[in-house]
Amino acid sequence: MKEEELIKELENVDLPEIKLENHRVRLKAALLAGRFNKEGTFMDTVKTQSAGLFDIVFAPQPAWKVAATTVVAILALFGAFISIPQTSAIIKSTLFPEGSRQISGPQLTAEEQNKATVILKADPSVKELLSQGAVIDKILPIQVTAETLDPQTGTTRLVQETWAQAWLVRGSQDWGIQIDLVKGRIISITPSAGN
Amino acid sequence: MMNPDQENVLVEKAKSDPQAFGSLFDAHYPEILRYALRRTADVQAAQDITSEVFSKALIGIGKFRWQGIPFAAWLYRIANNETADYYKHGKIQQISLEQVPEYGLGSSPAAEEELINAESELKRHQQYLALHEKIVKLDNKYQEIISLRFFQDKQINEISQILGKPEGTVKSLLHRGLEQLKVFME
Repeated sequence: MKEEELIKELENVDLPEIKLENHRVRLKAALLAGRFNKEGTFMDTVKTQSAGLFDIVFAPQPAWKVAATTVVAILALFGAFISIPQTSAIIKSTLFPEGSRQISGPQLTAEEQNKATVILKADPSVKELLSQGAVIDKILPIQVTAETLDPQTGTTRLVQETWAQAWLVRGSQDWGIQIDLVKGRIISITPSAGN
Repeated sequence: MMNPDQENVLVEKAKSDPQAFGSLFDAHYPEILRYALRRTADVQAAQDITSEVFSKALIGIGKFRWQGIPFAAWLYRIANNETADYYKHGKIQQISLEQVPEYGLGSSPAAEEELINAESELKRHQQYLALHEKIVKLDNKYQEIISLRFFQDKQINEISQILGKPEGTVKSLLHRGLEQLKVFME
């Protein structure tokens, strides 16, 4: 078969075009309900990895706190610009230590943190990234509600589980990793768009 | 269809505004589902992959940085990763809607009927299914490119953006993929 014939076949094949409206509606509702609920989710408490000074992502802060933080940040920047390099470095390292993140909200226990780290380091894909210079940046909790089926009775019940969301960073690249702490496995490794 | 600047604004808004994320979802859901279906030839898998793509997009959107490539290209990348996992592990090891009723939704008769109808519709496309059987024998990188090029009608520059590879590389991979597919077709 010539390549032209194969290309023609590929271009002309009648492709399935299936709509799943019920799935679309359910998925959309599920995503928006889970992400933007009033109690706040994991993502509500995390500052992004942006190096920008004012990147406080969707944390429900009182307006006065945001304003005060902004003022402090502006003053810190100004001081950094006009002061001697050593003082500038001291100011910057005090207020915004490199690599630190200001995090509010629930945290993993020490045991959960350790467990997440062990699971991370045991995964072959993570090992490969770490061997290529990636570092574990932070590990934060995710609260997951799952439905379990009792095989004996056929009934289902909801259970709350704490999972973990970790980030690996290598230069300007990063990967988000979901960890099932209950089953002790990595669920997914997602590179960010900048990778 | 949104222009890139409009989409960029919407993406930034979606980091904190549910309506904005909902708009992004509405804009991209059909295409991602279509891609997942044409990669797997399995309606259930396509549903699960699509669910995971948007779930991960929601989690990761706070870190998304506009770098001149379309938001859809990022979604395709996630879809490629999920599809690769699907073929690697033989199933989706992720959370499906049925397993996460924190969202208050589980399976329903309507959902099941929709699935059954979709599967029946899929079976009507025998030529595509026969092609798909051959395509899945290829290495994942060739499957991605062939599907994007011929099943999603993406141009080389768009595939380059999605895969994060130079256009020359994309062309080479496409050519090599077609060469291998020819062998399987004979």
